[in-house]
Amino acid sequence: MKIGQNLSSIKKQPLKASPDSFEMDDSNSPDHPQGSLLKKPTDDQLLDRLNRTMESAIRHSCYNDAIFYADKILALSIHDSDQHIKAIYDLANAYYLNKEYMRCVQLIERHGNSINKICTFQYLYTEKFRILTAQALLGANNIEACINVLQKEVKEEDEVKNFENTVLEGEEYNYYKGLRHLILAKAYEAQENNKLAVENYKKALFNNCENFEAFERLVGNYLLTQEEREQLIQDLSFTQHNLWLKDYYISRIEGAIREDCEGSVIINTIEPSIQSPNVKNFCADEDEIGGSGAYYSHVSPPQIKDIGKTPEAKRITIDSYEGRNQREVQILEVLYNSKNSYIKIIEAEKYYNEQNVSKAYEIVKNLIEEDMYFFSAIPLYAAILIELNNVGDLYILAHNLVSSSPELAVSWFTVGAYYYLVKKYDVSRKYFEKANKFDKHFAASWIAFGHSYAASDESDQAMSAYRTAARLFPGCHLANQCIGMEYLRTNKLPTALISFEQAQKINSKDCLVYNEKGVVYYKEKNYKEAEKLFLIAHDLSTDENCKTYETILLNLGHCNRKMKKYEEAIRYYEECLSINNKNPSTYASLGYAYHLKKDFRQAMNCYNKANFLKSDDGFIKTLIDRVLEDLQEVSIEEIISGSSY
Amino acid sequence: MASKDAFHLHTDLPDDRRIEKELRFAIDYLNANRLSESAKWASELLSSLKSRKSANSSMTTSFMQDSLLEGGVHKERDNDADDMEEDEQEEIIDPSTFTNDIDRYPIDNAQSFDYTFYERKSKANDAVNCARILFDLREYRKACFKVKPYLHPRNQSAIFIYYYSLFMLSEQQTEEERFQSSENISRSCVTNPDMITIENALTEYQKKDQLNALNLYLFGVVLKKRNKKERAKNILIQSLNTYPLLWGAWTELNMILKKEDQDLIKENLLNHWVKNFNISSYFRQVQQENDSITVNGALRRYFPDSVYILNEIGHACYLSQRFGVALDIFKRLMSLDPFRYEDMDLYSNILYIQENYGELASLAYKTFKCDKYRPETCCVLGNYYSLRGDHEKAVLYFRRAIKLDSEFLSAWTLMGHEFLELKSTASAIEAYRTAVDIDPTDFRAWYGLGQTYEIHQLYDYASFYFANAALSRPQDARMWSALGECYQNNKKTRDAAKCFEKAEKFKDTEGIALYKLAKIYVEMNFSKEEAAKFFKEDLERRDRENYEGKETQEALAFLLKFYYDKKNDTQAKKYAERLIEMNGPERRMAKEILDKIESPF
Repeated sequence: MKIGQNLSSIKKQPLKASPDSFEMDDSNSPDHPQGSLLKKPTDDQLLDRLNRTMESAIRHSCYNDAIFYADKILALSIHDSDQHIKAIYDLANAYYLNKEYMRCVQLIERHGNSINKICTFQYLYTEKFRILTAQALLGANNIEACINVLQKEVKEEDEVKNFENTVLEGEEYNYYKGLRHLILAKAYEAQENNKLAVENYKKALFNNCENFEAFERLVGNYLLTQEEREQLIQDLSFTQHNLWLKDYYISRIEGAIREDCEGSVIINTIEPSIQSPNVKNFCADEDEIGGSGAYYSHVSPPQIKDIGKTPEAKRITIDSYEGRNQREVQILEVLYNSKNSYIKIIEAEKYYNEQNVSKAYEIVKNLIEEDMYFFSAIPLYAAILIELNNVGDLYILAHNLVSSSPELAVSWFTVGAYYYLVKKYDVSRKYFEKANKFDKHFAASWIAFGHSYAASDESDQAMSAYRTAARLFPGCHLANQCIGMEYLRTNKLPTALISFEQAQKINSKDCLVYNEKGVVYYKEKNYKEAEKLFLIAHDLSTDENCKTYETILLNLGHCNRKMKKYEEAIRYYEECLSINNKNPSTYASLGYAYHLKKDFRQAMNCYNKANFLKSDDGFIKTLIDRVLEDLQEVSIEEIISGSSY
Repeated sequence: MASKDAFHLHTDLPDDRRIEKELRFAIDYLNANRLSESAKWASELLSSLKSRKSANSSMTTSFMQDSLLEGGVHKERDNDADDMEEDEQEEIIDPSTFTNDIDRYPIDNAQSFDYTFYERKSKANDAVNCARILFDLREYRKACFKVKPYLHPRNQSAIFIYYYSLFMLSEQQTEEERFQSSENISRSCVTNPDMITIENALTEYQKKDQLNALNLYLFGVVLKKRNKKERAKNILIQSLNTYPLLWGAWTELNMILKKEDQDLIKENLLNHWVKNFNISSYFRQVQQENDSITVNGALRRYFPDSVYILNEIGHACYLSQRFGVALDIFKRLMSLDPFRYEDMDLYSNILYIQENYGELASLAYKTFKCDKYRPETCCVLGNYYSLRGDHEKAVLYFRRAIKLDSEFLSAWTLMGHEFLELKSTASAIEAYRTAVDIDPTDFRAWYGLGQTYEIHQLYDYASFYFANAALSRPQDARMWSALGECYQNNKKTRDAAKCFEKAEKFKDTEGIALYKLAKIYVEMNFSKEEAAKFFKEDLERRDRENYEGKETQEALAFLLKFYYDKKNDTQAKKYAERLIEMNGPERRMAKEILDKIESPF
């Protein structure tokens, strides 16, 4: 009570004081008897002080403090003044930061009148308030209201524009417009209204190409197909200052680091011209080797792999004057060399898509070691660990994530992935479901959910999970691909083909899609077409040591065998064996090819090996009996002349 | 230069001073990089080099020429004090800076070789040395970790020790996994994922031509493990051409060479003096034992006490079935190098074949004392127990040999033999199959497989395996005879005849082929003349070897009838008289014919 009284008494003070009172410094005010002794603060000084306290509280994330002081500022400030409006905004913002969303909304609504009064003069504030309201509503999961707030604004836009034309223009205007669309899009996404969400994300990006979140949502959440993505980048307008962002976006979209970067920057190096950068680069002392030289002056050439094609000359356009060297540096390249996570993850994804898992693993492992909470890398990491059957790492990853951030979908996804890897599919499903509940827009989890059904042979459920994924993530080719694979499993070839074609349209760089398509044609006995597709898959896959590569080779072998090109088939099978020489079915196939080629002895050898590796296979046994009969027809002369030893 | 033809060498050897220097360099270099087997080979060779003091006159002249070439800086080089001085003047090279420059290592004898091994003292090399020590202590993971920050194409030693450690680590892990899994060793599908990582990393370097000889060697080994043999061959040859004294690279290469690769070796391998050693062991590998022996014999002039060369000769003799000579050589070897284990299993094989029980027992005792956990030792013991008839115990030892080295070929084959003795066919087949899997040209295992099926009268299977055996070793009469018999049992007489002909061509020592051939000719009514010829030859040989039996009577009876039908009374009489002296059913027939011939009418 007492404090309240005091406050109200102080509150009256500024009302009495003239606006120019702050001109009078305390040192210049002998009128105040206390001035010389106690230095009683003036109201402005007090407000200033409070403002500073509040701001520093926000800066240091002490939101409760911030709320307290912001509230006091609001109470002390003069109604309907700029100051008052700012105080409202600050308090609302503090509420928002402290996650008191509805309180924030309530505050803004209560002061709606005064805000409106001011805002006819200052459009900026209207924007700020509305965005804050919308964000708070979104945070409070009151999506309808959020959309209402924003849409009203969109509708009002034209009116406002009419007489606020002069005030709001250019970048700032676009910035807020972009922000508005972003929030709107997020709200639509929460409502699962993908179409409007995508539209708004796009608008957000058009208005402000630096709006990374919108881009991340569109691309990272697989909302766009490949074609749409490319179109989007073309439509965006970049300035000289954020050309590097274009490089980054393109890299993301193409799934490979862009080679001919546009974004570059001129830097000054204060080195004497003799010790020009390339000298330093090439002659790094042996002791320094290995220390990751990764700043501007240290772009050491051996470390550049993918973008190594940029010629040295282009990168170092030396323009020396007054002992200073000017160099043009590709920003993306610098980022790459400084092992920036966002850039590295693109590289890792590229390798993963090429089925070069071991290399991807190397990169992602380093990333995760450096920053365990780099969440956007975690689904990829989990996928790689599953591929490599690395149970231990996956376990500790899941464990750490759940204990540190149990509120994130990705943590539960990792747990599910762990159980998936140890083949406890029903348990894994439970966790994938949990992850889905936390975040409806987490593509990896949906797909994995489907996988866990597929792994336990529950085709129908798997399909429905994949279908949901396909609906939610139109840019994710995996969903369509998996649907196709399920169809293929149940031998519904034409439908499978449609799914694969859709997948291919979304992502034309995954070798698996071509492989599966090939399998469909193979099953339809269209071997020529199948071979063509397998060959594409073969070209797309870079790692010569992974399972997929082996499968593709095996398929190529089968194809050629069917087309009676036995020599070719044998070559492919042999290549398979160089990857994995313990696979009985490869030996059986190789034997069969030899058998058809009428090289019975080789056939026998291969069948025997297959039989040896997998002794309980009746099919191989029959083949052996058949080839033994054929062998009886071979005379000794033929054996000697055709000996391959 | 003339020596080339005279001594059957492929390239001239330089004077032994240079050989000595090269070997010394090699020992230090290889040892520093923990290639102990190769270093061992080099140092044994060095210690067997003909000592300079007893050098004959021809050697001294070559010395003088040499010093003239070098501008007469070192005129007298016969005492050790000079050596010391010389070392200081020698150019110091740091092999860690070797790149892929073949020119850097003087291959040609005409180029001078004045190098001692030295590594620059730097922080990077300290780390490399630390990693090497950890490697010695089998702390492979830690070694990798220590040296990882220094991986760079310019620091080849770091690359080598890093991937070498990783290689050892992954080998160790696969082995452990294999033991843990309840699966049968021969059928185990444990694959090594790290091998892929190593292969990929080294491929990257290799593409940019950033590997030195040692790393190329490692790369070759990895490729071989990954079953990419053709690639491995090329890489290993490249490695050897960069640094010819890398003996390990050669042994790896030799294992995957085939007969068709002769030109590959002869043309692509640079003519360094070590090539003589390479070629000789290659000849042994591709069953040209005599060529191997000649080259090695020539080499012995330079390295008179070399146990390696002696062993090679012994091995070649064993393979060409000259057991007596081989036995002498192995005996020599044991006296020169009493704590030897390499190839002692071959020695024990010979003793086994000759049923020399006493010496086999003593050999078993010696090797067992020397080191009982060597696959070779286990094989010797296995042979010993087998000869004693204790086949179960023999199997036990062969099994241990396999546990120690899962790719130890002869243990698999011998174990197959033991199982056959124990009548456990399935195990025998499995053992033989594994042997054949490891080396598809191992004729003993093919033969064993054939035998196993033959016992069970599955002649169609058996003939397939015997055919493989015969094709793997076409100059061996035993294989052809076995195949022939099989065909006979399978009623493929024509093919059988072909086989026996082949067997006869390769000097069938057991003497079955001729007899069988003759019988086939009789049975098939091919040509009596031919059959008679074969019987006659067979008889002659039997007479020479003073060996009589049922077959002799049969031959005599046939010849008697043949000549009687042809009215060649004198010949017929000769055979009849011999036949009468024997006991048997043919005696009556001989008597009748003799009576007919002798009675005027």
